[in-house]
Amino acid sequence: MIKKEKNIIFLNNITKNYYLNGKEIKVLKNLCGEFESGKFYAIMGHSGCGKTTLINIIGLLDYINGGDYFINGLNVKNLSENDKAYLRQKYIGFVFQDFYLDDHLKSIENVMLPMMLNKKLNYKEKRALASKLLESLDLKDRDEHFPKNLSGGEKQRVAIARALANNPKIIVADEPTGNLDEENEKKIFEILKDLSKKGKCVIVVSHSNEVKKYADKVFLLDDGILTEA
Amino acid sequence: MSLKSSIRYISIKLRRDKKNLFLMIFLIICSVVILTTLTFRNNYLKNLQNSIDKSITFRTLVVDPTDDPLSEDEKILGVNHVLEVYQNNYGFYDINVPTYNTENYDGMVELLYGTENILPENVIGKKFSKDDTGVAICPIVFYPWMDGSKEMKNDYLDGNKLLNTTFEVEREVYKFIDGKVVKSDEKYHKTFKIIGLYDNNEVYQDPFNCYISASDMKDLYDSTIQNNPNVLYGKFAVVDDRSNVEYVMKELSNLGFTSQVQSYIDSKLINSLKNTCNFIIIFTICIMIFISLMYIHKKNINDMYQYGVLKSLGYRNKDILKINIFQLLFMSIISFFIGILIFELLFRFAIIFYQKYFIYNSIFVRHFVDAYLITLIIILFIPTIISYLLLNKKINSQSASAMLGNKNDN
Repeated sequence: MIKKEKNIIFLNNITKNYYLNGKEIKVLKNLCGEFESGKFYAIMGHSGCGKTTLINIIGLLDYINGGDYFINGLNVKNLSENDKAYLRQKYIGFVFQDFYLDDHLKSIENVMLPMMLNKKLNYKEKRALASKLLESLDLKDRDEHFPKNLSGGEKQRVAIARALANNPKIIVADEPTGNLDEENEKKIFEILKDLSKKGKCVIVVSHSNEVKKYADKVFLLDDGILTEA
Repeated sequence: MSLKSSIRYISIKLRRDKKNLFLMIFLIICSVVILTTLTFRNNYLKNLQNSIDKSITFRTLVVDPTDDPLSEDEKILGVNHVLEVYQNNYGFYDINVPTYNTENYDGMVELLYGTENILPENVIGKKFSKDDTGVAICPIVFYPWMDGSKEMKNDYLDGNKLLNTTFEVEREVYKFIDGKVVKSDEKYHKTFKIIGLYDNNEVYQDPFNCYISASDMKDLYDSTIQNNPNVLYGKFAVVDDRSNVEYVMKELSNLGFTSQVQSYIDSKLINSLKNTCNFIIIFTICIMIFISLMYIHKKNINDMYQYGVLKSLGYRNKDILKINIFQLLFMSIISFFIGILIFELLFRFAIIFYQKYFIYNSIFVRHFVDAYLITLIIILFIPTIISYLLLNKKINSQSASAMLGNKNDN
């Protein structure tokens, strides 16, 4: 078994199966991959190839049927649900295609949502931090807005700010520009690129060819296997 | 996740998520229904028990006449705990009192047989002995009106103002001539001075009940109706305490007397009332369970992706459960307190609206702590337990990715 400490994420012979009407569907077949901090990765592939399944596994939202998965050198395969939740909180920030903002919370409150788990900061400190994050994403004047009053691009930037709330080392984004126009798409990719330059490991699943312009490395997922494009 | 953070998050969600309003309104209605039913039931039973414990009629025995009327009194009085024995036709006498017969009252008063032994304990002013004459003890809240079927429009007479005043009674005189009751042209008149007052509500007496001395009662009865010499009259035997009634009845039976308590409880009516109240509460609980199940199930389906998002942010299953349980607890507590407010308004309205009726019938309406506690427990725990059971099962059986509904792209 190979385990490289310099890689923040290391996937070794990952398999993932689903059962549909009693029939086993192999989505990932002995998939291997390495992801380093400070780099922007793009995972591409045709629709239904298992990109979202892979990103969910990387983000510890789904479990694997075989193989080993290391985050920062720790094999997470047999970790309890609570330990996985702790790793998600400390290491991983999620960005979704549909933003998944809480409609009843203002932008700043949405950003503070992951911070609620942080008992070291008081409310004022959390609010100041969230405000700073929004400001860094050009959303200073949108912090008191509800999601319904934001444009698609703004919503996604709020979602990125939320993903950054606990200062994770890994940012995983599942089709982050899928619901955005070209202008906003570029803006989001630029932000994600910028984050990778600041030392984050950014992994983006996307259909868009635009992502190739920003990615340090592009992977192609085909027939359950990850290959470098 | 800290308690403070949970509370802050929940309070924001409660204020802004209007979907919670439906369940809250429903819980408020349930609170009011359960609280009203329990308070009504408790008040009814408490008043009933009080009247049994305090009213003289529940410790007065009606003793059937025997073939030896002359020695009856002596025998009955010889039984332990018997305070007084008197002929049952002297027990009470409904009479017109012209003094009080005004446009406000019909002036009808029920006079009761009184001796030192059986007068209420709570008399203000003077008591009388059985041989005194021309004296009376009347209720503090005095209402000389015996027709309870009519709407009461007037206020009670303040007994305190009547103390040491007099009233005159008037009655046609009937005579027993040749085995027939014949109305004569004479009229009986007698004046009584109110020398004392008693709290009729405390001893569950009607507000038109005045005590007069035994000798006056005999004189009044004998002068206006006259005993039928062919009829054997039974006796009233007054027992010192309700708890001794059974013993006295047993002893009387041993002496060859047949007796029964003057007032009795309609147990069928009480049981049907209890059952109706229980049915209302159980029905409300069933409806609560059903509505809570529907609401929480639908909420879980709608909010499942939000739970998935929370999990992606690092929330554990128990954090999500905690948020939901706290949210429902908060909703339940707020609903309960709003329910109390509404109930309190209804309660006060009922007291104001039915005040005269309550006083007339010696009904004391009060709050019961156990009614509040039972309501709180029902309102608090049913939705919370349902939420816990449904959500715990759901979030533990699904991965976060399934919650987010992202399995399409596999």
